[in-house]
Formats: sequence, C-alpha cells, structure tokens
Amino acid sequence: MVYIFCALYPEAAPWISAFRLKKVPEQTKFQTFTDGKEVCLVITGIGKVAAATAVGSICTANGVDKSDVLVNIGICAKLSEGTEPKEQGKAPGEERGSIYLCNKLLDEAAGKTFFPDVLVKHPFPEGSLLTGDHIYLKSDGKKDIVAELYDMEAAGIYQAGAYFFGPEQMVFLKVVSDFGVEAGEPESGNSKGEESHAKESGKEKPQHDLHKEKITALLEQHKKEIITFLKNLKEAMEEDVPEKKEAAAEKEYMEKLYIDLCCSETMRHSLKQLYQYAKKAGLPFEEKIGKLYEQGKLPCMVRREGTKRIEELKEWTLE
Amino acid sequence: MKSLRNGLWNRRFSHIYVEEKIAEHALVKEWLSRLPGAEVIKIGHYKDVFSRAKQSYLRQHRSQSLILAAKEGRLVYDGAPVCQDFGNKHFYYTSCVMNCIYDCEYCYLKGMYPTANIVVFVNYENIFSEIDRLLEEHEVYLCISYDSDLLALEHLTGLVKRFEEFASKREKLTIEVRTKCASAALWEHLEPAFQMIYAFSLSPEEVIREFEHGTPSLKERTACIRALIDRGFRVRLCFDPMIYVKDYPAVYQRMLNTVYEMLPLEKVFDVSVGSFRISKDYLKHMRRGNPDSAITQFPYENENGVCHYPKRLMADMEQFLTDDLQKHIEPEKIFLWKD
Ligand code: SF4
Repeated sequence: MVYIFCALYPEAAPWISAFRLKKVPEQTKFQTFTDGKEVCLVITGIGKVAAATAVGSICTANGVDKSDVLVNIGICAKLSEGTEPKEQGKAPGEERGSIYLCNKLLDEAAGKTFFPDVLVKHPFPEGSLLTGDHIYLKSDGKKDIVAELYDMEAAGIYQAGAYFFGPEQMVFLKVVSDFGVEAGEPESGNSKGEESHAKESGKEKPQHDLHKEKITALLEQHKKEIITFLKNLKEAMEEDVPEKKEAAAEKEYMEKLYIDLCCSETMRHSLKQLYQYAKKAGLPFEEKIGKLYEQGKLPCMVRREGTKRIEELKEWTLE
Repeated sequence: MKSLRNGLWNRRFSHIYVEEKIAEHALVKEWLSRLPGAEVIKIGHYKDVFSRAKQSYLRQHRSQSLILAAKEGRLVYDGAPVCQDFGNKHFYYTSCVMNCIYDCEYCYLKGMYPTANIVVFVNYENIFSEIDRLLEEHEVYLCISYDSDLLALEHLTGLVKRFEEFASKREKLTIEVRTKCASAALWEHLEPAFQMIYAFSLSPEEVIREFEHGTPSLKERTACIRALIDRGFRVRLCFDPMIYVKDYPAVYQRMLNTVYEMLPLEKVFDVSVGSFRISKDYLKHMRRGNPDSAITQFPYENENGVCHYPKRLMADMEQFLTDDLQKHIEPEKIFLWKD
C-alpha cells in the first residue's frame, strides 16, 4: 500500500483524481480515500500533532509491511529566497512551484533531525526541511541557516511513521508555495494558516476558492513525475518481500507442521530455520516431510518425538 | 538477494553525509571531489544517520550511502577473542572504516551494525598517534581491515597507502590488511613494505558466487596474489571462514588445486584456516535482516554464545583443508583457529 498523507484537501486533490480514490465513509476522524488495494490517502489537518496522530491511527488500523510506503506531499515555504537558487536556471524568487524531495527533516521545537533514506532514483532536486509549529514569518529571521524549506507537518509524520516504516520507506515531497509571510499579512503564509484556524475553532470559515485552486495547481504540475516515482518506489520496496499469496501458503504449511511435531516456541524457531535453510540450499524439504508422513513418523504424538524428528531433519540437511 | 531492476536504485554513494565539524577538512574535500554529483548532506554526528532504527541492510546495500565522520574515544582496540592472533602477543585492531562495499552473506558486520551505509573516519592521524604511544611500550600487531575491506575503498580513501607509509618507518609495527580486493590498478600505488601483511581471503568459486556478492573471483584473487608475491609483498592466505556446502570436499579441493597451480606457496607468509563461526547475538540480527539465506539459517551449534557448525562437521572441514595444505606448505606456517 502507498500511504499518502496531505495536510489539506487542495494538496490531496491531484492524487485523489489520479488514483481514482474513493472516500472511506467509516473514517470519521481523518478524511481518508482509497482505491481499496494500492493507495490510501489521508488528510491530516494542519500541524505536527494532527499529522502524527493521523499517521498513527491509520497505520495502526490498516497495518504496515516492508513493501508499504509512506509519502507526505504538500506545499512549503522556501526559506532561502534571495540566496542561491537550488534549481538550475531559476532566479531567486522564481522558485514558486519548484518541487523538492527532502533528505533531512528538522523538528524545530524538539531540536531533532531525521534522515529519510533516499535509495530509489527520482527526478527531483533534494533539500532540507524545517518543521515548525507556526506559519513562517519572514521576520523570523535566519531559518535558512538550518534548512532550505519550511512546513508544519513533515517531522511529525516522520516521527510517527518511524513506528511503522523503515527510513527507506518514507518520502517527503514538498512544493514551494511562498517565501514566508510578512508579519500582519492577512492571507496565505505557508498557505495553511486560515484553514488550520478554521478547523481548530470548529467553524467552517469560507475558503478562498482561487487560493485552494492555486495550491492544487502547484502540485498538479508535478503529477506525472510524482506518479512515476511512486510506482518505482513501490516496485523497489516489493523486490525482496515475498508475494503475499506465497507467504500465506508457506505459513499455512508450516503451521500444520508445528502442530504435527508438537512444537514448543523454540522448536518452531528451529523448524522454521531448517525449512528456510533447506529452501535456500536447494534441499527437497517438502518431499522429505512427505516421506515422514508416509512412514508414519509424522504426525508425532508427544513433544519428545517431535524433538527427535527435528534432530533427524538437522542431520538430513548435512547428508 | 539481487535486485530485479537495478535501474530503480540510486548508485552507490549518490548520497554523502558529512559531519558539520569536519566539513572543511582537507581530506573530506579531497574525497568529495572524487564523487562528483553526489548529494552532500550535513549532519551533527554520524550516529544520527548510522544508528537509526529499522534500517534495511538489504535495501541500503543496493544504494549504499557514505558517511564521513571524525572518530572519537578510543581509536585502537585489543584484538577480539574470535579473531586469529597468529601468535602475536600485542594484538590490536582499529577501524577507520565501518562496513563494506562487498556483500558477503556471512559477514559479521551485518550482525554488528544497524545499517549497510559506510562510515569513513577522517582522523587517521589520531590513530597514528595512538599507535605511536603503544609502540613506546612494546611491539604492536595491528589489524586495520576488520570492520571493512579497506582496500576495496582505497581508490576513494587512500588510507591503506597512508598506513603503509606510516608503518614503513616503524620497525616494531606489523599491520595486517584483510582483503578480497584484486584490482590491479589499485595495487600499483602500493609498495611492498616489511611491516605490511596483506591477508587475502580465499574461497571456492562456488562459495564466492553464492555468498560473496560483488567480490572478485577466485581466479582474479589468485592472479592478483601471484603478481603481489612477485613484487615482494608479504601475503597471507586465509581459508577462513570455510563455508559448508554440499560436497564441500570436492568443492574445496578444486579451490586448492587452483591455489597450488597459481601460487608459489613457499613464498606465502603464512596461512590461516577456520570454519565459519559467529557470535549468537550477531547471528540473531543477521537472521532477522536476511532470513532468505542459507548462511544465516544453517542449524548451527551454540557454544558459550558462539555459533559454529556441528563439532564433527567443523573438525572434518578444517582437517580436510589442513591435511591437504600440509602437503604443500610447512605445518608451522598453518594457523588453525582455536577458541
Ligand atoms: S569482504 Fe569482508 S568485510 Fe567485506 S562484506 Fe565480505 S566479509 Fe565483510
């Protein structure tokens, strides 16, 4: 499963349409959309705590395995306007709409830094991202010393995600929407302030439609590369994970064997290990077990007998 | 397990993490210049990246990152009990590099470290000072390539050359460099020095292909050793770890035949023999990280926390090799690992 976490609906809209996701009506805390098999998108709301809570709740409910990926897609502020532009050919200030893959996340309040692995090829420039607890004000000063980008969720998503995913399974894609807000400036800012406040206060403040559309449009322009990258990422994560069907059949086979050998926890370990060894060493384990059944040596009636059979199997692997 | 589509993964060292405090170090700049186009990410301490939870050794090995750091605390350690000391009383090891570009399924590094990323420490000069302090007290036998194959990274770091230059001016120092590296171009820049012993691990071709991913073939290794012996390098042959495979006598005999054919054994410094053994804790970690391996899943015997092949098999394998070697090399030159 690809889990996509976006703070706002306008950030999620391109993916809901691209992957033809349907709303999950049972999910009442966080708006959730899915195609029922490959993609699950969650709208977390604004801020680290909301985002982390959404990750924790969805991943606990759905379960996560080694082939799953977590993707946080959204808008951010660029901290270093006026300094060297990261993207070639773009003048400072022209970076609105530029996309970054974040290789370093800083949690401003906690003073902690996190590093998602970047193992799979991608076409995006990379950058570091500072996650703060309020909208970035230009007057905040020199945040560009510690990072290039600023948002309000990523570090929270990483920290919650780390309970379920390895660092190579998590990806943070951010599109620059602004360069910080002047103090007292009413609208926009890292484009999220109003909606956040509306949600917190429980009021549905009317949103500026154009504003929402702008956010969606900023992300929409990178849709093609993002979708290709997510496909590659998923494919890479699936390489060393056995097909679910195959794994389930194997599990069923072994479970029967554990019972038929009256296995204790330790015996289960040894037997599983022997099975895996035989498989890798090219030994006909299942044929051998079949013979034991034919000879009436399986199933065992007591654990002592099971222990003896496992010892015999060990010796067989060395014959 | 090999990647089905290598094209999906970033190339090795596409990402380099550099500790802030050494970002301006001349050696860091030199190394970075050898890896143009890499993404350089500043970090506070190497453990911020190295020691993260839930890292996947298998996946990271397909796209290893490089971490450049300064080593702190003790730099030279007493030799570990599971390692062969070759009769040397003052036996130490140091690691300027942690982890390896090769990918041997039996490698204990997979059990010891939480990551496949490679750390290179820049402050080798501090290690030199510590060695000099030890040399004031006694002779020193130092292994510098336990926690990596240092020579496999020589084109990037040049660290073995630096150790060679350092050691060649110190009579009481002997340095062992363990390797499987057979790159002719690389050896060109090293000189034979009496203080340096190059210890080549040799395995049957079948074992190399199955379990020592990314390493040179037996033919390449023996050809390289031959050239080095001819140039006057001191070479040790390590048939350690011996790996159990079906028909191991035939498989290992073929390897020995290649060795006898290619190498003037009378010119070899010495030979070590030992079957695979590993600490139980490392093995546990390796089983979790790579469950799909005949090495990790073998039903080993656990004796006081060290896992090894069943005693009879272990004795048979080692005996087989030493018996045959003794026909070609003086028994005093053969070191059999004993716990
Ligand atoms: S060459 Fe040595 S250090 Fe490298 S992976 Fe193999 S055993 Fe480990």
